[in-house]
Amino acid sequence: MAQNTTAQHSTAQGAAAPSPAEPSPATAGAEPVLTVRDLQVSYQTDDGPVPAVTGVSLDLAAGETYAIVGESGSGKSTVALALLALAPIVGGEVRLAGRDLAGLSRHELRRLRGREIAMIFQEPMTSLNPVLTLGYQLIETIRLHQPLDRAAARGRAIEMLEKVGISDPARRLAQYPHELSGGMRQRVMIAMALSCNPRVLVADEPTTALDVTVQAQILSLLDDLRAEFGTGVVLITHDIGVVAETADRIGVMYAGQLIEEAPTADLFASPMHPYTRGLLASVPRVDLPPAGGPLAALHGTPPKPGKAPPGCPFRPRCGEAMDVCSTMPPLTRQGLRSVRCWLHDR
Amino acid sequence: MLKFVLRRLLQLIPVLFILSVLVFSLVHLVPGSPIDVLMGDIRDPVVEAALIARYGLDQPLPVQYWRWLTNLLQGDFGTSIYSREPILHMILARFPNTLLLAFASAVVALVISLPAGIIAALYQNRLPDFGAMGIALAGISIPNFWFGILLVLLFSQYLGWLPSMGYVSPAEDFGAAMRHLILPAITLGTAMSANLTRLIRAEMIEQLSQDYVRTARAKGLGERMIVGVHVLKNAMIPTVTIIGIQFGGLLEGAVLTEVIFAWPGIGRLAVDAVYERDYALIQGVVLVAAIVYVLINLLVDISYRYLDPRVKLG
Repeated sequence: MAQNTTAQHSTAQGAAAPSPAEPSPATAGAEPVLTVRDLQVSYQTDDGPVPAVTGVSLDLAAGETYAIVGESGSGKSTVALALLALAPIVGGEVRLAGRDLAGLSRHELRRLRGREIAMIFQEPMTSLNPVLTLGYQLIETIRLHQPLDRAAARGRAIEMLEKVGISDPARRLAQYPHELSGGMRQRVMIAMALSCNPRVLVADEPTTALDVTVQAQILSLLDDLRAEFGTGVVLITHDIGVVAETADRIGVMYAGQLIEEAPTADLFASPMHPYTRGLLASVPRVDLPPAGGPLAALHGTPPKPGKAPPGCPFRPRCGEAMDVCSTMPPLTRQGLRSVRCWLHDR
Repeated sequence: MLKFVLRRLLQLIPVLFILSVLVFSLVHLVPGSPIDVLMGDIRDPVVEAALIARYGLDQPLPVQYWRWLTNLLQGDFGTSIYSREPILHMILARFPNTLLLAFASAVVALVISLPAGIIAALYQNRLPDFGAMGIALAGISIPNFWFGILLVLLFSQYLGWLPSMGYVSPAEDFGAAMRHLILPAITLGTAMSANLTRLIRAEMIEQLSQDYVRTARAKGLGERMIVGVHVLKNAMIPTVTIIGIQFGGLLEGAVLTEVIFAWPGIGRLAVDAVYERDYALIQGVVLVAAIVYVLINLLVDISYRYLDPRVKLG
């Protein structure tokens, strides 16, 4: 896939000045549709605020696929929700097409959601309302954001269902979610998300609940639609193998932080952070000769949100931990890549 | 659909048979007999024996039961020992009154519990929630009849706004009928709303945490639409069951409320029948109430088909 689109962005318009606050070389030049700077998200619990995301920055260009990879609890789904201002943002900023979400009223945010930025979820079984027809749910979304009458919105719904490869779309409008398979439901979710032609689509583990063959279909569908509409896609997954083919760039999250970011090919070729190396080593590869011996596994478990040790949160599980790791490593940029690790702080 | 209804109606037959045996046995287990009541202060063994023979009470119970059952199957519920009216007549004359009261009570219950339950759920563990739940708890704890008496004291005795008891047919004088309906309907409706409020609150809270709510928010839907359409339609599915069961209960006659407000419904008919040991009448009332109850449940099941598309009847 288009691993080098990002490189094209930077070479084609490399003369443009990078923004002063943490410029991302990957999209420098092309005005990013989505900019996240030092995002902080905390959930209120009975035991006080628990930080779920502590300082995430990223840029997304139009038509680009940015994958966020991490274990469960790493904060990746929270980042996804925060992009739509659906998680409690306590610091930093999310800018969508130049507009800071923090400065928008609730009404303005609602107009943004679904139209400028849309989201699909992991569970297509439960993400659709079980007692409303697919037609109702699709047409509701379309009419919410576009000045169409019922008939025109219905036409648009049928058109979108066709686009996502659903046969006999007119008949489907009268059906309920339980009458469709999981893959079909996810296609409906995608049709709904893209029905208002948003600039950004956030896909939170869109294939995790699906069969492997269906996974591939959905991923390639997403990729086709991204290319057709020029939508920027933020793809959230715990499975680094899933994104190898579709993502332009990958950001690896650990304990609420982005610890490494790189173009996909670079990340797979030479992971820099010990955690990323561990992740990649734990994925079985058919393109490499078998190493002989069991697949490598990361020892231990990630810290619970808010329970990370001081310094680098990966330190307790890291085979290369040093004394300096008890203080937080800075995010270091190296060309198109960045990494948060003392090993690379040069 | 038709097949479903037919099968459910067929299932009614064994239920009613067992019920008829139970009712018959229970009635005859109650000490005292209608003859005692009929005889009053007269002490004449000859008259007594004649009466007993006349009503067939000298026959063995299985024989009495068989006679009652065979008549019943021909649509003959028997006649009341006292009023000499056909029992089916008496029941059918009272039933619309009970239906009216039940319906009005259900409306009162819904008008209270629907907004209260929704608001409590939306403001979970905050002041409006505590308020609604406190009132609901009081509603469950306060005896129905006592609350009815308090209402009479306030609105009839002190304020003089509403009649304290009695019934006027809506066909005769609609305004007066409504005025007579208000207090008993509020008494029953508030009792019903206490449970319903708690149920609706719990269902709403459960549904508000579902994934489809997140989807609705992510597509930019306003909270009013999310709550009013997406969540409410899901939350109503279990709620309708409870409403149906409670409504069925009301149709069997709210005994205490009907007695307090002198409301000529099924409940009072049943109480009077028990006092007078009017065997055939008691049996008839209980049987009709059971049939109505089962039919209401059938209606609830059918309504599922419309509320929840996942339910297939058959």
